Amino acid sequence: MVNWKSVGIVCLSFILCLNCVKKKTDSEPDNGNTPENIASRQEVLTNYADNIILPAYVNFSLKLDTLVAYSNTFTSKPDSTSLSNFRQKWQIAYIEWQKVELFDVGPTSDYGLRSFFNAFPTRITQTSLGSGIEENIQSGNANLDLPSMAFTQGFPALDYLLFGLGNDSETLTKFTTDADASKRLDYVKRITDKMKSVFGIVHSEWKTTYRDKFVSNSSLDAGAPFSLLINGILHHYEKYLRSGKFGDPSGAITKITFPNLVEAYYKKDISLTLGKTAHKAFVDLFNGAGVKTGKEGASLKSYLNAIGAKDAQTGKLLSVFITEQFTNATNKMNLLTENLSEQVVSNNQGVQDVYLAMRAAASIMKVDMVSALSITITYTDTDGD
Amino acid sequence: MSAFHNLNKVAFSIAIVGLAITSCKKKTEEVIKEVVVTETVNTVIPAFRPKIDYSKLKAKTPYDSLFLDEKGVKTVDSVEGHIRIKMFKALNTYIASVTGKGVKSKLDEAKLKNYFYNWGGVFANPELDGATVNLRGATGASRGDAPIIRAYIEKLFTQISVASDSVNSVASSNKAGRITANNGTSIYLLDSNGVESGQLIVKSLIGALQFDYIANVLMSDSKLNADNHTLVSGKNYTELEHNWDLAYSMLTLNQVYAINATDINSGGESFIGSYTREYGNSAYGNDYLKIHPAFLRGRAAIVNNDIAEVKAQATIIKGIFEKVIARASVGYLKKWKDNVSTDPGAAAHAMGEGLGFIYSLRFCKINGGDDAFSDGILYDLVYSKPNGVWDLSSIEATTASNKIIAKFGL
Repeated sequence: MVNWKSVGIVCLSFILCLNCVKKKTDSEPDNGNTPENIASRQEVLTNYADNIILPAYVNFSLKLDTLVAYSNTFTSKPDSTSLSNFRQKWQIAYIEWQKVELFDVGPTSDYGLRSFFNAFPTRITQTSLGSGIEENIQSGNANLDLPSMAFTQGFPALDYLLFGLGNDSETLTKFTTDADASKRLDYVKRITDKMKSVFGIVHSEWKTTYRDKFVSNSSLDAGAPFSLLINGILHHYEKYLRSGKFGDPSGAITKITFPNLVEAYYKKDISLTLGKTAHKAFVDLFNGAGVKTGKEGASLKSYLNAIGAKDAQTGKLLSVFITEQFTNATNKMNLLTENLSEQVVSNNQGVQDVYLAMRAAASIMKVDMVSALSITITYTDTDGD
Repeated sequence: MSAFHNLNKVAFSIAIVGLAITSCKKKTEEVIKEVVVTETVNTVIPAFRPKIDYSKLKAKTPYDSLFLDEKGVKTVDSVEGHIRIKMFKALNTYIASVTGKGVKSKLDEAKLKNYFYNWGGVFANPELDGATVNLRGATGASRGDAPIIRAYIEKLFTQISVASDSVNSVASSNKAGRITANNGTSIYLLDSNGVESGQLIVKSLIGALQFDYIANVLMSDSKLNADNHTLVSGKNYTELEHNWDLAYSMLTLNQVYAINATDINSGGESFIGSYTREYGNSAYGNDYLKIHPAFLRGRAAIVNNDIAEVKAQATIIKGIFEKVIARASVGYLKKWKDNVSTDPGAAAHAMGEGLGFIYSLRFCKINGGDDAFSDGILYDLVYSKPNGVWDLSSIEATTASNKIIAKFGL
């Protein structure tokens, strides 16, 4: 028995359904999803993975291995030579870290790599957020995997332990004859071991599985690598580079100067180098400059040029306009001297100028670039209600 | 007795026990009864209303504008749904007051319950206080074990009230108190597990109250098979029409959902309506723009008595809301990870929101959400640990997030 009414409903639904599908494709803009754009995004991702991220990770792992080796030498035999070597390797590795901190996608984000390496200002004693380095030294069993312990480990904690305990001989005393010397050495070892193990896991996942996932999905979805990568680097640029290294210490927003908020607060004379290195790493990524060769490959810059993205007001190519802001920020950094903790006091405007230049760059990237790329910023916390 | 309740049709929609003894002081809870309605598909029934041509429906056609009776009077009655949204907003406002600007005051458990039960004139608004509905009656209403869901919400009221005793001290591991974000102005009340109970309550209710009622009660098969051939006594709409209108009016106070929303701003929509914009914007295929057309089309299909089409639109709506709840769960876990080592206050806030959405996943039945899935993730993130979220690592949050991504195909 044929139920013609049911058939009718089915047919009608089918037609309506077709109609829906058609409407959907009509109303969705195809910017970003032409075959050419999909292919060029894949080239960008491939260049980024193979010529920038993975080689930068290899470089960093070498510096980190050296750091850990010299940390072990120091903790097994603390003397002025091993301290001096350890400090030197710390500095070299810390600078190298600046070239990888901006990647925050895939396993890097999964493990929260940054929090094991560069959460500053470091926390010396207990606050409401958790125990400090000193309590951790005493207890010997702080769980360094907890985000609340991020501020008691990594380069900033070593900064304190290597440069914040007094002059050279006082520092050495803390690791040799002081009542807590061996506990302090144990803690140094725990920190560097943790850096090595977490980085090892992340680096290995990149090499074995994530690299292929990263380059093989060039969709614009919020959860796909292209969007995650760009959200990660922009978040880094705004929060950790612009505000963390320059804006917060200089009081650019709060109007209160915090000399103790600078990176490498205890070492002092490398803060600017760290900032400049981080900035250059960002610009190199934007330009697609290979870590080994310096040669530019497929990049955000080339992609923006290919889709003809322009600044609406000036009519300039967007990539040119953004590069001008980078140059401006670099120029402003070049006017500063190394000790940013001192600079925020003696040359506060100079530091704020760096913040302002970076703010201009960030704003163009977050609005115009992101829109040209047809992706969405997902890291801003906009409360829904 | 309020005008928007229809006693004659109660058996087929919402049975309100003890409605007659409703007083200003105390209201008995509503009990949602599952009623089996057998739809006789094969019976040819004359069209009840003139057909509406689907081409008349535009992206911004006001929901209540096209569906009129033979006298040209609107058949859409939004009152009850809007009352529930307003009650939810009032509860939300009271909860947020605990760390409001310049004020840090205890939350009263009895008052929280009053908002939930609609007791004691707590809303200070006759429209709400005098209403015969409350939030509690619609909470977990699709489920046979609704009392368990409601008891859970009330347990959270107790917890937040206890935590609020500590609102003037600073939160730390295993110690309730307030936490301030780096911006210096956002202050949140955490319980001893590091959970912002206020967010947990509100986001849990997005699932348990708003989504469950819309998707699993009003858009259930039995409700979509309701009588569409006779008018509800004293009204100018059929039972099916009103079921659909209740759903729409539980989503938004506007007659064009998301009329003022943009890609980056929810334009005054609230609760799931707000998150559908945030987690359904251009980064997610502009899902939020599909909601209003689906409601319109479903409503027109009801006028046309095209039940298959009504159900098809219901499936679209439910599917989008489920994705939104899942994306929000994942998105807030990511925000927690992004902020946890630099801005613990902002991170704690994100986690509170995320945990509420994760609780809500249990109502996302199209994607197989259930108690075991939600509770398992909440256990992993919070309750398996001596100090709750204070003991959570980034990779553990990632693992939880990946489970949601896998289950919901994100």
